[in-house]
Amino acid sequence: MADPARTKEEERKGIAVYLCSCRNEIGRHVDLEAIAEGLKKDPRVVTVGVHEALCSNEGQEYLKDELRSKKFERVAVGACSPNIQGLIVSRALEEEGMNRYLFEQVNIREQCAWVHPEKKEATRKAKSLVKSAIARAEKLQPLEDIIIPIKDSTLIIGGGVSGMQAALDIAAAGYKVYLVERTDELGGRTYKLSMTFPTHNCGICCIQYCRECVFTPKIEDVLQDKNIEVMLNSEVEEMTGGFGARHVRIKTPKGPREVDVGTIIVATGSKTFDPKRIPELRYGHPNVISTTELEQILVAQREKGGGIRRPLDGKVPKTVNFIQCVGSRDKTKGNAHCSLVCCTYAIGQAREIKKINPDAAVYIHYIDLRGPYRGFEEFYNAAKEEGINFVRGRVSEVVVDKDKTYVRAADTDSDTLLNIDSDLIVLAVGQEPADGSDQIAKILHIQTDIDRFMKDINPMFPSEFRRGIYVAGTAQGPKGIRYSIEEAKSAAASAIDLMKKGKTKFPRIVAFVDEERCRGCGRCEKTCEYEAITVVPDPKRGVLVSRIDEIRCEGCGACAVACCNKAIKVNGYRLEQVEAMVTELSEEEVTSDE
Amino acid sequence: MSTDAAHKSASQGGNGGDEHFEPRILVFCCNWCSYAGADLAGVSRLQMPPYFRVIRTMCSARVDPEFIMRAFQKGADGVLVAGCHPADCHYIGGNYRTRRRMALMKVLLQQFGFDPDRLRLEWVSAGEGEKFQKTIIEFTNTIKELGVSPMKGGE
Repeated sequence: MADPARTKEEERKGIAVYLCSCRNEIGRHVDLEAIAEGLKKDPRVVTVGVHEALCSNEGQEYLKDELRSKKFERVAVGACSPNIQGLIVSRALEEEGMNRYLFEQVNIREQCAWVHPEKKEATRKAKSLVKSAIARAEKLQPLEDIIIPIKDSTLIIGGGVSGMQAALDIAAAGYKVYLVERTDELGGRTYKLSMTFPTHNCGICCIQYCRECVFTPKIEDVLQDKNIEVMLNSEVEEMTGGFGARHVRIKTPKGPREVDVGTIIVATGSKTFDPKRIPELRYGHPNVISTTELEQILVAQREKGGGIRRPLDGKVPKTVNFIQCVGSRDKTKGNAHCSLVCCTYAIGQAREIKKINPDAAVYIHYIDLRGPYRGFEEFYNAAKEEGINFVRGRVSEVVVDKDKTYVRAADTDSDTLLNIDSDLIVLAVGQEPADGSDQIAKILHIQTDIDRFMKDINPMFPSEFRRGIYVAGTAQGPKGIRYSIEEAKSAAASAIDLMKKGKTKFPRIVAFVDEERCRGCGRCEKTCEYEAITVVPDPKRGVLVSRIDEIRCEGCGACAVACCNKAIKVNGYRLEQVEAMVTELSEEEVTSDE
Repeated sequence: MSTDAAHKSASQGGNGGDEHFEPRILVFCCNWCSYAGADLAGVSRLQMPPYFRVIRTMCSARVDPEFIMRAFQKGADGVLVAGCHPADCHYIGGNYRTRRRMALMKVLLQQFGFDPDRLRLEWVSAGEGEKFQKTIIEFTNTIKELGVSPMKGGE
């Protein structure tokens, strides 16, 4: 006890409590002064402060001053949601030398002051929440961030426009790129297009530097870049290792190839909806084609000339009907989502048909016209002026009668039913995730959304999908070429940024095993979604124990619950830390003295 | 509402009629969906009964049965576990584990003499502030009808 170092340590053990009035947003509904007064009696609490805005510059300076002068070790804060301004407050304390893992913030704004009108009730609730924060802060343990090196190479999965653009950007920054493509050529689906919006001119079907496509990624550039290793006819089979140094096995025609990469960009793209899934549209009849097939006819006509001829008999079609939303916005037989690009490309194709064959009657049957792109409105107006008929309403079916095909459709503007004798029917098929993208999502542990596209952590904020893993282009959802390229560039910039730093740190909110308690049963290994846990023999003791790779661990804590012997603990969410809160909140005094 | 709660409130007014009963309700919210949903309810100023207290965990799968049992042991009248919707878990499949676990917990609670309706599992996404409010109001009403926890002398 006489040891001065020990006394000093004990002296620092105390908890400081800060309550934020949030410029009266909280103060108006919660009597913070009364709470502060009550807490002063708590022996664990060394100081209590009320501030009008802890996240402001003054608030941060105030906290730093407090830490300098008052020698406490832990902090409990009652303020806004820790997911909103929590980082700012804890960072201020961290800058002053506090271990940020000894910081606990409870939410007395969103989940208290703003939703409970009664001041007395809100104050009682806020008080119990702050007390639970103190209970938890008492049990917190100081930790260090995990710092890991990032390897300076990238794996890009998918060689379409997004993958190629990302590869070019990263290679230009001087990093090694492995570009894996499933098919035998680069360019993806864009490469097969005859023309693209908004110039209504060629796609990237050639490798010449036309004015229209000088800014789109070019296959030759990718193939010639010394920093890019292209693997065609190849697929990613397995990923091991963790953030910063992922080991990936790729199946190539020359046998398996293994690479180590620091970052991964997924650009697996999308495929078009199979219209056979909607039998009443009679896809399969020679007069009924999809927009991708019409693209091939348009490409052939561009290369060889000879006009647009229908597949059945080579005649020039007199009446062409476009049916929109095939497989999109259709919960019963297709996908619920809107594929975004179909209105635009169908109008482009209709205009092309009208240009080549001005006498043809061209109809577009649509539910709503959606083209959230710059220049779409002008594009649409030009199509109307050129005499393309826009018919609002759903198509009920395509009827085949001997050698004729009819489109049965509603025109909701004039409230009539139409039966159009049609030479050629074009189905504007929507987009859905590419074949094999499920598999890639599984290998990389990326979550997928309800339409099976890869899902952002925050839909409003493009970011990493997993640490060091980015998704670009239509793998994330339907989008046009320009937006895919934008995403590719942003993903590439983030990846370059990460590799340039060479190392990164992230919070040690991860699980770890108490090997003395572990029985090696393997439940945790089965539970972990990230394959971060392996059960291995411990040669010293001759028993099985599980080991957690803290770099792969995402900190969800599922293994800690699955463990039959409480051998797994999760930093920041240890049993005693959560239970301290549970106990405090369950035991709360009903009678309030405020 | 479970049968015995319905019976109780129908036959004698239960504790539901007790104006002074202020239930203690613990809500476990996963960090990614439900906690954000609860925050959205606050940002949208959706008013709720003041008896619930939120504890944040990274994933609903971190909600150890022990936490729930501890809550009831220490006097909570109801426990709500909120997580991401199926197929929407930040940790890929954590919510499926939670779903299976909660079904078992309800059986277990009954063994201990608690009405299984005192434990509820709900999916609340980050965009569902209104659903969070609705869930809290409904659950508070359920708990009010069930009355004081048997741990504190309720029936």
